[in-house]
Amino acid sequence: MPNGKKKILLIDDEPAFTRLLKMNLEKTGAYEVREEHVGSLGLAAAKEFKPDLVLLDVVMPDIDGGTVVSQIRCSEELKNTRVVFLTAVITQKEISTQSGMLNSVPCIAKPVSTEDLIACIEKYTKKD
Amino acid sequence: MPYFTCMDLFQFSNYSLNPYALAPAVVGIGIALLGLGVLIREQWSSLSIAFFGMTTAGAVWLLGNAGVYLARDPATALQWGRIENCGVVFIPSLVLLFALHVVGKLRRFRAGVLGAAFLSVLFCFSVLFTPWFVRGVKLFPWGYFPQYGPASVPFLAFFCALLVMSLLSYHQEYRLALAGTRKRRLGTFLLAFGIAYLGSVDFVATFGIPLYPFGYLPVFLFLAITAQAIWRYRLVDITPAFAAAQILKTVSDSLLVFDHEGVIRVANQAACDLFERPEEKLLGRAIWRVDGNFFPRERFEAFMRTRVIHNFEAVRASSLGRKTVLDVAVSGIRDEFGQPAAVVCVARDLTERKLAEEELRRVHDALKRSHQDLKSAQMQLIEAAKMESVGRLAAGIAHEVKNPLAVILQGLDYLDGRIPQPTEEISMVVREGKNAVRRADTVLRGLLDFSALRSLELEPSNLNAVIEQALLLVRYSMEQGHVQAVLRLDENLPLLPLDRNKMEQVFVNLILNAIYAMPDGGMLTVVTEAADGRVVARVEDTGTGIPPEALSKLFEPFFTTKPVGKGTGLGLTVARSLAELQGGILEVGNRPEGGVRATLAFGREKSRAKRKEKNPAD
Repeated sequence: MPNGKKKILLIDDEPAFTRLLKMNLEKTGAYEVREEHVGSLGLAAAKEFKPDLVLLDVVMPDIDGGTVVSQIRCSEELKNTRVVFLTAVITQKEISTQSGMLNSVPCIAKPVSTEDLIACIEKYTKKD
Repeated sequence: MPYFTCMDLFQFSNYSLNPYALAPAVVGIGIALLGLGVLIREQWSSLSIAFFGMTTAGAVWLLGNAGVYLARDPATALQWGRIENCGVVFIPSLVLLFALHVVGKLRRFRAGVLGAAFLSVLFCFSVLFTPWFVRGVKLFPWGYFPQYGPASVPFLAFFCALLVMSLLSYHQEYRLALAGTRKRRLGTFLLAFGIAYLGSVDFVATFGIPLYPFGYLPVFLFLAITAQAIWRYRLVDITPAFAAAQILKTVSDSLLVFDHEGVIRVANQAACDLFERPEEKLLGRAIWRVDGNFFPRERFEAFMRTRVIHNFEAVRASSLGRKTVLDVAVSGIRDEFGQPAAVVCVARDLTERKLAEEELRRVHDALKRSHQDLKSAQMQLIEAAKMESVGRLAAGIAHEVKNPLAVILQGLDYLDGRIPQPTEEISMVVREGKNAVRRADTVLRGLLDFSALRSLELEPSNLNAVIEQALLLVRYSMEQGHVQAVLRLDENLPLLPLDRNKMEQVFVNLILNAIYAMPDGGMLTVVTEAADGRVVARVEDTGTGIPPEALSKLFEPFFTTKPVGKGTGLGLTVARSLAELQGGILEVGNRPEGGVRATLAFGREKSRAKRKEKNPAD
C-alpha cells in the first residue's frame, strides 16, 4: 500500500458491474481497484497486482470462483491474500445462516450497495 | 293224489340225499339272491320289482325241482313237482312284464300283460288243484320228475308265445337303440334271456323222455350275464321322474311344498337339516308353526291372495345360535282346473355368499383406499416435480437478473455521488431506483430460497423452541404493528426431525402474514399440542381473514393478496414446501370467529389434514 490506498482486485465476468464498482470505490479515494473479467486469468492478475483483497465472482463462464480461491491459496506469494465472494447465486439470508462464509470464504450477495460493500472491505482488510 | 298238501313236505323221512338236487338248489338260491340284490340296489323301482318277481318264479321252479330230486317217495316228489310248476307257470308272464317294462312298452301292452298274468293264475290253479297239469311223477336215473297232463299243452304254447314275444321286443328295441349304455344293456338282456330259454329243455322229461333236465345250466348262465350287466349298466334308465326324485332328495337347497293352507306336504333332506327336524315332524304342520320368522302366516296369506312369484331374504337362527341367511323363492302350483293347489318354496343358503360378498366389499374398499392413496401420492409427485422445475428455473433467473441489478445499483450509487448538489427531484429518482432494485432483489431472494428447498439438515428438535426463536426474529415487526402475542405451548411435545432454520423460516412467514393481516394491531395466538401421535402447531390472528376466492390459490407461486411491491407471492409456497419436506402438512383457512388460522401438523392422519386443506374454511 505504497500510496496508502488499499488494493482491490475485482474478478467478475460482468464488465459493467466491475467498471461501476471500480468507479464508486476509487471515488472514495481509499482504494485502488483493478478489474479482471476472465476468471482463469484471475491468479495471474493477482500475482501481478498483489491486492489487499480480492472480490471474486463464483459463477463465471470459464472457471468457478472456488477454483480461483484454491489457486490463490496454493500460491506462495498470495496465500495470505484475503478473498471475498461477491455472488448472485446465494441470498443474504443463506450467508447469515452460514456465518457469512461459503466454504470458509466470506461472502456478499449481489446486488450490494457501495456502502455495504465498503463496510465489508473494511472489515476484511483490517490489520490484525 | 289230486290235491296239493303241505303235510308230507316237512317229514325228513320222506327225503333221501340225491346229488342231482344240488345244482338246481344252488342256482335257485343264486337267482333268488340276484332278484333281492337288484331290488335293493335299484331302490324298489317298479322295474326292479318286476325283475324280482321274475327271479322269484325262477327260484321257485329250481328249488321245487331240487325238492323233487330229494323226495324218497313219489307222493312227496309230486308235491314238490306241483310247487316247482307253480313257479314255472308264472315265468312267461313275468318275463313278458319285465321285457315290456325294459323296452318301455308296458303301458301300451298293459292289457296283454294282465291277460297273461290271469292265464298264469289259471295254470297255477290247475297245477295245484287238478291232475290235468301235473298228473304224476316218474322215476328217472337222476330221480323223480313231474309228468305233465293235457293242460300242459296249452301252457307250453302260451310259454313259447310269450317267450318269443319277449325276445322279439328286446330285439326290436335293441335295433332301434342308439349306441350307448341302453343298447349295451338291451343286447345283454337279449343274450341272457335267449340262453335262459334253453331251460325249456326241462319240459322234455315231463313227457316221459329220459333226457336229463339240465335247465339250471342255462339259468346259471343267465344269472351270471344278468348280474354282470346290472352291475355295469344298472337296471334303470334315468327318466325325468327318476331324476326328479333323486334331485329332490340330494339337492343342497331346502325344498318345501305347502298345500293351500300352508301345511307342509313335501320336505327334502336339506329342509329337514335346516329346520333341525326329521321329515315326519315337518310334514302335516303349517310352516309358520315350524318357524314363524322364516315364513310368517301373513306372508303366506299375502302370497295366496296375489299369487305373485317372489323372492325374499330370510334369516334363520339354529338351536346353536348359528345364523343362516336364506334366499327364499316362492311359486304356486295350480291343479288341472287352474285352482291353487300347492306352494313350492326353495330356500338357498346365502351365508357363505354373504360372507364372501362382505370380504369382497372389504377388499374393494381397501383397494379403493389404496388407489386413492396412490392417486394422491402421484399428485404429490407431480406437484413436487412441478415445484422442482419451478425451483430450477427460479435459480437460473435469479442469477441472470441479480447481476444486472448489481450493475444498476452500482450505477445509481455512482450517480448519487457524482451529482454535487442534487435537487430533491434527482435524489428522489435515485432513491426510487435503488428501492426498485431492492424490491426486485427481494423477489429474487424468495426464488432462490424456493430453489434451495431440497437440502435439509434434519435433527431432533423441539417445535416450541423453533417457534420461540421465530417470534424473536419478528419481534420488531410485532411491536411496530401493535400485535400482542399469546403463546400456549404444550411442554410435553415429542422431538421432531426438523431443519431448525428452515422451520423457523416457516413460522416467520406465518407470523409475518398474521401481522400483516392485522394492520390496526390485534392478537396473535400460537398454540402447540401433541395428541394421538400427532404434533400440531396453530398460528391464529384476529385480522381481516382471507377472501374466499383467494383460499384455493394461497399456495400457488407468485400469488399474493398484498399490494404490488409488498409481497413476493412465494412465502406460503416456500413455507408449505419446507413443511412437507420435514413431514408436516400446512393448511391455512379462515376461523369461524374471524381471522386466519394456519395449522401445521406432523405425524399420523396426514390424509385427514390433506382433505381439510381442500376446504379450509371448515
